[in-house]
Amino acid sequence: MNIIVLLSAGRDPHAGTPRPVPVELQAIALALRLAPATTITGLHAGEPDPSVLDALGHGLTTLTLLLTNPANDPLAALAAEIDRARPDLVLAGRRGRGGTDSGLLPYRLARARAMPIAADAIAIEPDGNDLAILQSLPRGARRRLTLARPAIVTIHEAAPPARAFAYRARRNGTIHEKPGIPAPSPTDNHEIRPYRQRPRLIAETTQPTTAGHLMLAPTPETAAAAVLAYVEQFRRR
Amino acid sequence: MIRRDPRAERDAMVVSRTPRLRLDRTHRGGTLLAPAGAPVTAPTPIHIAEPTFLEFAVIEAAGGALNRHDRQVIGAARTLAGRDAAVVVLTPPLAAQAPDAIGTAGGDRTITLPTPTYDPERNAQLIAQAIIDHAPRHVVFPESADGGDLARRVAALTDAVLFAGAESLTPTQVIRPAQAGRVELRATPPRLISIAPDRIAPYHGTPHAADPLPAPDVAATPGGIRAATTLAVDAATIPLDQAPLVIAAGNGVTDFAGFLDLARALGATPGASRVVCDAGALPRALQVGASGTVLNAECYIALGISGAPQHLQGIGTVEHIVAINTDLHAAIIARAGLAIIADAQDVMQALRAML
Ligand SMILES: Cc1cc2nc3c(=O)[nH]c(=O)nc-3n(C[C@H](O)[C@H](O)[C@H](O)COP(=O)(O)OP(=O)(O)OC[C@H]3O[C@@H](n4cnc5c(N)ncnc54)[C@H](O)[C@@H]3O)c2cc1C
Ligand SMILES: Nc1ncnc2c1ncn2[C@@H]1O[C@H](COP(=O)(O)O)[C@@H](O)[C@H]1O
Repeated sequence: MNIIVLLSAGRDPHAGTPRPVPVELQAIALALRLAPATTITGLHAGEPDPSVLDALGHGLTTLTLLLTNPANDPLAALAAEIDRARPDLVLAGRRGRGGTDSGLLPYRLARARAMPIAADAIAIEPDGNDLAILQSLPRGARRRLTLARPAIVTIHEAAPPARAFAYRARRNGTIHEKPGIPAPSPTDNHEIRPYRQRPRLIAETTQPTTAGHLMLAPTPETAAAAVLAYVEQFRRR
Repeated sequence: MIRRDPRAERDAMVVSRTPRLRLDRTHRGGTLLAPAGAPVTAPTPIHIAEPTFLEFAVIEAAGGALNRHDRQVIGAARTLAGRDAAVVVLTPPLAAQAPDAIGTAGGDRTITLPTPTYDPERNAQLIAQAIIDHAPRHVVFPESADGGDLARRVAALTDAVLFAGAESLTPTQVIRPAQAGRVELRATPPRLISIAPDRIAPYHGTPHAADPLPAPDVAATPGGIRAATTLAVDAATIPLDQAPLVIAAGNGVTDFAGFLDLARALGATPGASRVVCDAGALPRALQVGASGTVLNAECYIALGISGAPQHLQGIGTVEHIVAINTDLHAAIIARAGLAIIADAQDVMQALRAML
């Protein structure tokens, strides 16, 4: 199976220095469970950012760099490279960490290449001509999806951990540099400010909520039936 | 920030001024009981018949009921709509018991997305079509797992930028973190916005009247997601702070083996009050409360728990509480959506027998 792992230029949340995005390293680890290392390529559109090159130390052996201005929209360059390489599977992080961090790029790529996309995978297996994906949902829930190939899958933080960094592998990794396709990024008239922590909504602990239903000294059976009926109403199916 | 208004607070405490001034200092906000005889009338719902423009709120409504995040999404759309515009809520089919939930949360219209199973590709198509049909100014999504996925699908489909995970929202400005959370982006609200949980207040005003609108009509195209099944998770293995349904034992419970057995049969994650953990009857890891675990559950069943403030802190965000207690005046009774004044042991046995 031919796998492309999309790598973005990550930044450390505290120091702001280049650092790989953890979910993208987890994507590499998942890819290595699926296929031999020689069939897995890292792909980045932008500059040879140290954070991207460091992915070579985490189990990746080849990396393709599409050289463009990092301020550009990477979509066109990535789409063209995917057309050329024809991978069976494209892995991405669920959110980047260091750019706009909107997690939108994989979806735009899926749309541009008419590939199906599934989010938040923690395990991937081939299933005949399809892919079996295990999705992580909130509250410990899991969903199993069958996805047609080729597909784009984004990886969740609950996926197996990334491989440890090895300096020798980082040095010996192969890097292919190609010119990318310059494309202006969608106009964003954002104002950028240092992040300010805002309070979350306070829990309504002391406020009596809207008058509930009160049962005074019911028989245990009526009480139990009422509890079951109430609970079923709010239980997720 | 909300500033205190001491005069208004004092006025709210006045029970009577003649023959002498009487204050009720235990009163915790809200309105005093209306004097006997005064008719209590429900406010007439606000009806926006001819909206100046439309706002969309796309909610998840998992299990057919609105959760906190869903109400915040409708609240955000309400904020953007103001008084003259209508909020159109796009929702999967709702359970029968919650018909006016949309109006109470601030929605003026509902569009029910007729998707029987998990099919985000189809839902995105339907929403994209609804956007073309109704041309809303904004579309607000919850930045949750499935809600965020749907928002991105719609963004890709309509070739629009998504303002993902907004933490602050007014009609003129939205703010969200970026660059690994080191900066924040401020912009005038773009068309597609997803809001982070517990950041934007739900609507608490006079309920609106929510009228149904027809579902968008677009031919289904086969998608790439061939099959989807939600896997059953063992409630006992879910960490307490993530569990959707928690059943907890307090000092009013004596049969703890029976309690754990009931939790297993009910598919609920077991919890306990501090007194029970202190006594060693249940492990410390099960303690719910300020010095234990703060829950994120949807539903909480409290057996023989008085509802001390430290315990209530642990269930502050839980919306649906069942309390079974012999004491009508226990604090937990005031917090409960279903309060049962009965012996916890008897109800536990009856419950176990029914499962
Ligand atoms: C610093 C600090 C931190 C704390 N942190 C926590 C915390 O994290 N979590 C926590 O839970 N507590 C905490 N506490 C303790 C808290 O104040 C209460 O003491 C405790 O929550 C009371 O537990 P309870 O409701 O089970 O017991 P009780 O207060 O003894 O209440 C028992 C209840 O059961 C009812 N009952 C009795 N018999 C029956 C029966 N047969 N059937 C039905 N009902 C019956 C009674 O009417 C009563 O309401 C903390 C206290 C302090 C000082
Ligand atoms: N310039 C890029 N080159 C390659 N992959 C990228 C690039 N930007 C984003 N990605 C991928 O898309 C995911 C989501 O990024 P974002 O949409 O920026 O949050 C990242 O985790 C990467 O896998």
